[in-house]
Amino acid sequence: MKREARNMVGFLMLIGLALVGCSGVTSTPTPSPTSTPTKAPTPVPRPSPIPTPQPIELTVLHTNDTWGYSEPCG
Amino acid sequence: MVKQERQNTPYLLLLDAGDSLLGDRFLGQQTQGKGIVEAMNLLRYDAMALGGGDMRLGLDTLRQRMAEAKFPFLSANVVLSGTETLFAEPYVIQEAGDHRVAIIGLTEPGAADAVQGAITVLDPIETARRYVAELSPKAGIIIVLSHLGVEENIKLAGEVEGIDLIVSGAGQVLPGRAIQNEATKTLIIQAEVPSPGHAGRTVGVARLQIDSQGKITSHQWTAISLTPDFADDPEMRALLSTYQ
Repeated sequence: MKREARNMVGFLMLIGLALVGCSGVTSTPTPSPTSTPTKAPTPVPRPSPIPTPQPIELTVLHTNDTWGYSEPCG
Repeated sequence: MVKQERQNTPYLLLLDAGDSLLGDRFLGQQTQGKGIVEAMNLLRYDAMALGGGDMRLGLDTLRQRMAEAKFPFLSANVVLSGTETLFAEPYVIQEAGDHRVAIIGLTEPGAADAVQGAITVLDPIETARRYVAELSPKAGIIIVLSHLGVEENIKLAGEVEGIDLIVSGAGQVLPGRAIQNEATKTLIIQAEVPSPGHAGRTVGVARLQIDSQGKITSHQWTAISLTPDFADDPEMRALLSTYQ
């Protein structure tokens, strides 16, 4: 009877150790080792500034009501 | 003439204010406007407004001419009757240096008669107001290519703010100079009035000084008669000879 009790106690201790061991792994996550070298931060592209339009001379050539006629001088 | 101008100026727009496909002239009549579109392609027009005279081709033939053209036909106020579908592109945006130039087309109300009511012509002033508001954030310079006639275009210039230039066609009045509305600063120019036997022989030339904000700070305008002093262009002469 004593032997059975000792065996039972030993069995329960083994289970307890196993449980403590497992719970320890899951409850304290270990940071995964960084295997890749640290990259330099990528610069964020900035929007290019909108250029201020330069003054221009705009030429407008215009016709109207030519009624189906075109001059050969173009 | 146009080639010479292109060689001398980096920023050039070539525009037609309408009623140029069909009329009393042989080329337009014989080819139902096809020869005129080919000539305009050769000249590299940037845009043309639709006028009532162009509508007389009939909508199907006009669609063919529009498909053949390398430039857009513009009308912001013509819809197919009973619908809200525009018959043509309402506007086009071109670039001149760092500037964006919006060109809006307007057609006269009488154009609907040419196609027995198959189209409806919307109020041009309300239409212009709507498109100027839409395009002002997108383009620093706004041009209206209008076949309303000078009298109506003077009214348009006074009632709608934000138009820099109206290139006018049709009507019975030719001021012979550029007109500027004092309040809105809108400039109105027209090359000629419809005239049997004499159409198509005048080109308007406007030189506009544009500041960094896209505003016209000064202008010069003249109308040039295409007299025999202008030498024939070989390519144009060759094109026209195919129709003779």
